[in-house]
Amino acid sequence: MLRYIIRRLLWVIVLLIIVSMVTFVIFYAFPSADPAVLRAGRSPSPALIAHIRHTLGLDQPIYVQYWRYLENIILHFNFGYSYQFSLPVTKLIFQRLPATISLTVGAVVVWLLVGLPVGMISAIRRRTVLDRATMTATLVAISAPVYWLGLMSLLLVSNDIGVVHIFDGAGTYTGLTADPGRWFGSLILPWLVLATAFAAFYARLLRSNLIETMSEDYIRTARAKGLPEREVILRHGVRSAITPIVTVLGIDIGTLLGGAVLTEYVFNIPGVGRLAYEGIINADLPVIQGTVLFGAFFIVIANLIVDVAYAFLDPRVRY
Amino acid sequence: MTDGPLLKVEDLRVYFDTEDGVVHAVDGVSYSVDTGKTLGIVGESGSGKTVSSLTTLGLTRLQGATVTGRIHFEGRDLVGLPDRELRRLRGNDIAMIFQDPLSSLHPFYKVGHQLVEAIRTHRNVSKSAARKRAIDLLELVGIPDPQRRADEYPHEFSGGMRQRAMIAMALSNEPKLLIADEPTTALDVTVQAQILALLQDLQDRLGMAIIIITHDLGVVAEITDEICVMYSGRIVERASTDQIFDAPEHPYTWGLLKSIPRLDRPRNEDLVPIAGRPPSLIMRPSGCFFHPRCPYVQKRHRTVDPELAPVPDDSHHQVACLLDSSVRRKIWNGLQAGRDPTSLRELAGPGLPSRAPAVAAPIASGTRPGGLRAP
Amino acid sequence: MGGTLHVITAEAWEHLDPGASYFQIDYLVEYATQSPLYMFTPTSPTKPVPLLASGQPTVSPDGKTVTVHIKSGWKFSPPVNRTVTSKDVAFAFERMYNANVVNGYAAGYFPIVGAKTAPGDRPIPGISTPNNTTIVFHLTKPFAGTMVKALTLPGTSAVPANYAPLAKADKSSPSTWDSNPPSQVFTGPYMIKSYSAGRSMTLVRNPNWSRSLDGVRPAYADTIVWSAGNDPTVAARQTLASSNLLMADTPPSPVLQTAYQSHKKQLSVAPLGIYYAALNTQVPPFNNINLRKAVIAMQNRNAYLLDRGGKLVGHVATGFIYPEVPGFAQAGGNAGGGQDFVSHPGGDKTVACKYMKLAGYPNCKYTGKYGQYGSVLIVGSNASPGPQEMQTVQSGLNALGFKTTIKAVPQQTMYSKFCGYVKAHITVCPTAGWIEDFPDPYAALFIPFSGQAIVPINNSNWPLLNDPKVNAALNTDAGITNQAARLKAFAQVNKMIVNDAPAIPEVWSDNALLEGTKVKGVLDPWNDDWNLAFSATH
Repeated sequence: MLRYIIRRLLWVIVLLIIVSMVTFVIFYAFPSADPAVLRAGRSPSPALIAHIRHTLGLDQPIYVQYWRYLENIILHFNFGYSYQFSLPVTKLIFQRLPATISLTVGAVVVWLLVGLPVGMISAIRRRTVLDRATMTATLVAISAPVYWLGLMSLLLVSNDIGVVHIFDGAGTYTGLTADPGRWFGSLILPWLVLATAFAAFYARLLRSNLIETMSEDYIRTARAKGLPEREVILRHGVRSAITPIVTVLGIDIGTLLGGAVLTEYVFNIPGVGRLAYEGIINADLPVIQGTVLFGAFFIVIANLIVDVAYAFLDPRVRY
Repeated sequence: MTDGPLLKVEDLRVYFDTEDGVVHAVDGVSYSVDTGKTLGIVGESGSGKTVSSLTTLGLTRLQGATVTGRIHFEGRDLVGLPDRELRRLRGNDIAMIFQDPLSSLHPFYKVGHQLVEAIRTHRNVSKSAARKRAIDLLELVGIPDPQRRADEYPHEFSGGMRQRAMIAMALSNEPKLLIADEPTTALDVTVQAQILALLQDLQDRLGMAIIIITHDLGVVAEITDEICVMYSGRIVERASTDQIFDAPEHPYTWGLLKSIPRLDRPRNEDLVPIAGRPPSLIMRPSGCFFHPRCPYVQKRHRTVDPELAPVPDDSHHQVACLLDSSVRRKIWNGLQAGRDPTSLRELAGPGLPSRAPAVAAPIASGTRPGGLRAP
Repeated sequence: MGGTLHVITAEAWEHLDPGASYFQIDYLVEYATQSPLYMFTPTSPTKPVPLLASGQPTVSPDGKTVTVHIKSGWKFSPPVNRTVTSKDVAFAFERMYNANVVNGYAAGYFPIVGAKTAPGDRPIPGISTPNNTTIVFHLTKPFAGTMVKALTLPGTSAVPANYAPLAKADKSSPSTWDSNPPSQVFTGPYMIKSYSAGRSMTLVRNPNWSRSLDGVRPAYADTIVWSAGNDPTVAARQTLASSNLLMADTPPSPVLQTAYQSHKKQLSVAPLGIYYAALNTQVPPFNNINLRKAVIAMQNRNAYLLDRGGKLVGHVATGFIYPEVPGFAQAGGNAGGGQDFVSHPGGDKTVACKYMKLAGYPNCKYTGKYGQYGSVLIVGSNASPGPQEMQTVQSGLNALGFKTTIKAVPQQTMYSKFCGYVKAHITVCPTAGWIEDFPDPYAALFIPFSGQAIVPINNSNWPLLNDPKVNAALNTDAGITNQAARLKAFAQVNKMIVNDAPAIPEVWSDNALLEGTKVKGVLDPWNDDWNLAFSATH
């Protein structure tokens, strides 16, 4: 197991280097805008542009630029400076990580608390009106664009622009340490909005897994043992049906930690996703590169954790 | 405990309402088994043999089955019993083991844990006491080093060991009736014999009643006292094991017997599968359900539904066949002599215009084709 | 008086170092926290008002020397606390020429003797400070008439010379002075108390600022809280629903329509700038002036206004000095200079054919050569209304027989890789626009139309117009200090440029801004946005 993890971690490094290369090539070799020009404004003197290009290393061949970039990351954990904010990219990302983590963790809790019971009940009450209604609702929830959902939720129930003033609206995010109460209040709507599609997806996933599991032979065995149906479903059915969901969950958390761009954007939550968005619209290449790498890092680490966790969840899996 | 058989099933009918129509899975079945005795229920897949035993445990209720008739167990009728009481019976007074022990054991729980769960479901004992009993049970069914094996997962067991563990689990609460549904089908030939021997040994020691469900008459030859042959949801022949093997009366039973290899028959004798397929349980044939596949079919067999009735000189031997008893015995003697069924056809009567029989399908109940096996 | 002003924006700040700041949104902060020598104010939108300066500048007769006296007793904010001297102003100019600070306009507006954009700060030979309240600028050319207007830019705000943290920050390239705005030193009524990049900012009163010494900015609010990075739709709706929000960027048009219909009192409009379709004057076919005139004449310019939202958002343009720029009236106002090819906003085939004929196409159909793309390549923004504008220009061109190709790219890319990149030889750039750096015709015309402003990359003279007469006139007129004479002269330059037909004048655009019901936002017309030091809450 330890050897497996070490081997996987080495792969993570290789993978991140590949990701950094690809983003470097995409954003540096074929940039949508010249970063020097963006930094200097609309009518700078050519001398100024030349100086900025030199400072940013843009006058070097691309492989030298890439090597320096990599060197800075490895030796100094320096992901470069944001042209736009004049701040180190690492600082920007770490500043914004708490918001992203708050959003992700809360949304995960919401969608598990909603999605799993709904999926379970639908599976147990399969083919009933309840099941059909729920499954239709989940389809709608999955198809609803999160940006639209966010905007609608604000226009309906936020306490500034909503029809009914219930929840804190956009731009009210407060750090957990600054004011736990406001932190919670400001995140209720974003959590619900971000969790909607996931809850629906997880409900559907658990439902189909559970339906499949409940026809397994070992479920018949459990019933033949005389176990109460509740335990048959929870201890034998759900226990198996949930395992593949853990895999998906790991990846989803990893992805969201890389930034829930649209939710963060519509609710003005200062997270990594919005940082990435701002980086993209301002062609702030170090920010784009940094957020992409962090996102990739979270995803591959989540993958690793999921794979390791799987060995604990399913005893048949061994590394 | 009241007098009479431990389990007495009377006119049991189990129907499933599906989108395609009503499935008559079990259609008026009666049988009984006494304490210490073994009943074999034999038939192809889809003959209703598994459904009837699952119904005994109340497990077909969950699938929305309509159940009528009576299932007397120790004097109580299980058909009308509330779920809660039925559940107390399951795994306690009546236990069941299944065909494929790998898929029938939960892959994520240790074997010992699954036994402990079975014990504690019905007995208010501590975990450690339950575990001790679980280890004893594993030892009882012949699993070496049970202490260690209890902490292993099912996938770490061999096939035979898994079935032993299943049996141990079924024995957790000293059931009065053990229903074994194709207990050996998924196992290697040598292991099959070990498992059957184990069941017989356990019965001798614990005195429980056993119902063995199988598609393979060879399996039940050695250990059953009585055999019910089922076809299309009904019992077509019921007799003592000796009678079934020595003087079978139903053409379907003949087919079953002819399709198993036997040590007492010449090695070069052809195994004769029963031509055709089991009928649909939704759109059932008219008359005798077996008539489309019966080599000896007569015109009236297509319209008259035979009843299960005793044969002339043996009230315990019942058969549902429209052929005359004397004719049946002549045909059986001919078959015994190694003659081909087609050559014996005229013994039954004028018969029907010959039709090409449907494609011969191997009879099988499980995942493995019913191939060679030693009784 | 007092209270908290809440500002909300979609855009976030870029550079809050007064020496580097060059962005409308950043200016809102600069004019509240810093004190340039002069300032255009809501009440004096075309004439600079002395701010740190004690009076109007003195200009030498040759227009090559500008002398400014500053108020005595003006103090830097804590922790510096000391009095501002002319040396601090000189240092501000040194910083603008320090390439590490990255200032985008100094070289264009402050042609001081010996000044050179290079890394590191060094004394500028052309600046002298005879005493603590006097600073003298010696210019390389007679440019005082323009420079005195540019002395309103945030870069002229005094910064503490010999202040160790600033000196240290400026040694990095780029300077890190704007990395942590709360640690900066301020000279305005407010100080940046807290700042979260791209997210939020709080301004509080600068205890060392004196209202009486300032004499210009009322600075009503005690605190200004700014939330940036909002979704524009959400922010606009929040502003309309609020009593206390001031939205400092343009609302999306659906919300704007709502505001026009039912929240008119919460809506303010300021002229913004000009949009035009640049015609590349250096590559075929539009290196032929008559073809350019024909194209302009043929265009239905009303369509551009509709593309941008109709009469709510501005007027059909007839020239390149736009309504908020002094000299607009002298240039003919809305009617413009009366040239036949710009006098028919709906398009006029007769006029178009007249110029086609002059160009040698008597059938009014172009049959000549194209540049490297084999057709007229139109490059524009892929964001609305870019695609519509490209189609508008295309249909006008097709009507005259031109083959056309459309390429839609992001706005940034459109400038940096296509229209602003000379070697790309883009034929038509219909989604270009210009906003002047300060309200003066030179600032509206020089960079977009002078041949001297052409640079290989990040070029803003998109038509690549290089008319020696225009170049010379811009140079000469830049030095005129008498405002009346200056405006008249530039109206003449505008006419010359229109006659060169370098671009299809599209729209003189307005900018609409929203405020909450109880906010009294005050607009800085030249910056097309609020001035926070003049706005108040009730």
